[in-house]
Amino acid sequence: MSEADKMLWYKAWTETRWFFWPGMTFLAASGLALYAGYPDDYATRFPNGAIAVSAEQVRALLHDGRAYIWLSWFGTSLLLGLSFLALALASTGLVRSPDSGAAPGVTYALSMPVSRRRLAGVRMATGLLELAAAAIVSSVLVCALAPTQGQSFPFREGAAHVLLAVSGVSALYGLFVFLSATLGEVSKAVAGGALLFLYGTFTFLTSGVRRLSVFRLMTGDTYFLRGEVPWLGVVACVAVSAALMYASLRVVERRDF
Amino acid sequence: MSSELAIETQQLRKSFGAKDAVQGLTLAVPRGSICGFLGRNGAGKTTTLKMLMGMTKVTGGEGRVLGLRIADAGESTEIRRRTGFVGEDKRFPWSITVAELLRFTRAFYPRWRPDLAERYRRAFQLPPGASAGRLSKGMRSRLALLLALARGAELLLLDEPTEGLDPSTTEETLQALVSLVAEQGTTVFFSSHQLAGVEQIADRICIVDEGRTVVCDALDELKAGYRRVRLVFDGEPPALGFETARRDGRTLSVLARGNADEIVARARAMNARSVDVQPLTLKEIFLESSKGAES
Amino acid sequence: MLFPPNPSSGVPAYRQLIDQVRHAIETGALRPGEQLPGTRKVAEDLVMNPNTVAKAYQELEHQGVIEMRKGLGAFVARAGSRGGDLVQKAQPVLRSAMERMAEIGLHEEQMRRLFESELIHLRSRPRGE
Repeated sequence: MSEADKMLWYKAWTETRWFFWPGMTFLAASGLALYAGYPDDYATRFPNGAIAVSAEQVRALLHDGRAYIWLSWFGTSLLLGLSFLALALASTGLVRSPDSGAAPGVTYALSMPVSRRRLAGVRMATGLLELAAAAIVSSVLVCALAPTQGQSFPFREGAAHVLLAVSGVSALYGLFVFLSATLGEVSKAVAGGALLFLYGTFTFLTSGVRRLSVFRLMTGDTYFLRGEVPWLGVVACVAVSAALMYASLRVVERRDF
Repeated sequence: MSSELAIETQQLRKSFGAKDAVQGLTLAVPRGSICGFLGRNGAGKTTTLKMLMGMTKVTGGEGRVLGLRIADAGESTEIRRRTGFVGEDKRFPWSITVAELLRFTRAFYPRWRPDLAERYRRAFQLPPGASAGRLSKGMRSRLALLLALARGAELLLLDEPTEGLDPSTTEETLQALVSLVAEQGTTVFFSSHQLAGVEQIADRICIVDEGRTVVCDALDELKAGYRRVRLVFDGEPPALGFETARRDGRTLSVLARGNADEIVARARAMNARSVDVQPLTLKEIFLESSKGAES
Repeated sequence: MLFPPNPSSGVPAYRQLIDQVRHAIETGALRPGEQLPGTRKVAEDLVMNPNTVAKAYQELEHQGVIEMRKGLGAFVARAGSRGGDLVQKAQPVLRSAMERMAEIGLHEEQMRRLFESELIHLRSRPRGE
């Protein structure tokens, strides 16, 4: 990697670490909190189901002790934490607000002999890698602590869940990056937040939405219940994510700063 | 289009929707010159500089910087490799130090001059450990200029480089520019409202008004072409037929653009009591040239 | 010994610099054979355009006032006092003209302004129209 490329990654890191560290800390703390308040009768914790898991499905899992870990972590904490972290991290790094143009310091970045594609591309990739890292580290923690409550959640299973969670959130990430490139940072935060809220609510309330929801993919219910990885869903999310990020690149390339 | 010119534009245009920010800008800036780019606020200076740097897309016309086309993405990247730029926005929000910012920038410029970087860092009094995001306005300007100067650039495009600086820092900045041109043959193209500084170091002036070029000439030629002729008559000053004449009691003041002798001759023929020919300062020439819609 | 040109004087900067060098030679601040500061140093010290300085030096060389020695710099020409002769010839002409103006009743400031405007008039002529 050239010195210039290293510097681009470093710059993206300095910009994103302010969201990454708090996000990572929050997820790790949530993981710990899961075991701190471990219930005797876990089904009471999810009387109405989880975000992407219906109440009937929860009742059907009464016999499975590991279900609480699955529902609390992959079904709730990680799902929400990653989604909001994605909202925070998603950016091309170049657009602060749509009309006044550049974010402060962007003029400097744009005056460098680097294509906008490379600048924005590195920034987008950094956010995504950080999301994955946060997901992996916190999930490893959760799986490692399972024996403290007499449960076991093997790393191999955890890895599959993490794959699903990250694939799913990458689609959200792509969408938020696109919002950032077209509307600017503030509008992205507001619109993205509203979107998450509405989407989450509908997923929770409507079984029709739930079946197709990205949140369901992130939960990984088919894998937990039947060991089936929904590859189609994975591919679809990754494809959507890539398409939206590419579109964001084009938006940023065409723009006047 | 030759490569003797550092900057060359032909009828450059930029429209933002219905609004024309730049309407027909034709410039020629020779290599190795220091060219002052003057114009009222909103005349299109910043937009022009951004177009030259590839930050804003060109709507019409052509432009070349160092012989490379500004409208071509690949050539534009090469332009930026050889050009130092200081924009209006001199902020660095990243929380990195001055030293880190220098290290960061250095990676992108093969012709980086560590000796110049250190020299100007000291001269501009920028501590290596200072956080770039928390500098005062004056220090930010100096930092931006430092980054532009140390690049080993062939051309510097500067948008108000001495804005907000105190007189001694302004002088240091002008001196740094002069030094760079003397040492490296760098071309400097800078916009400024501080005409005294422009007059001091520029050998070329471009004036733009309402998005159009009004003047683009050597400073000496420009100043030689303007004179103010003050005539006093015994009675009411006669109409001499010059449209730039202004009356004040028995005094007639005429702005001459290359026709001072004609005015003097006609005034003498009309028995003017006193004939006084004075040069114009750059400020007066600028005010005359950029009257825009009021004229 | 050289100082920044005055931008309001109506005289181009390079010309003012030429006059300064000649004046320095006439007053003895610079002697025949002595080295002048380099164009770069002059530009940096006076904070003025290096091309302007170079133009002045070129013109001075053309007039025979200085000579440029390759690799060494600019030196005052040894055939030096040519400027001094001219000044000596011109002085009585100006003195008698000024004495006459004083007799008419002009005072110093009026004389100076008149002189400036005639000077400009003189300079703009040779360019031709």
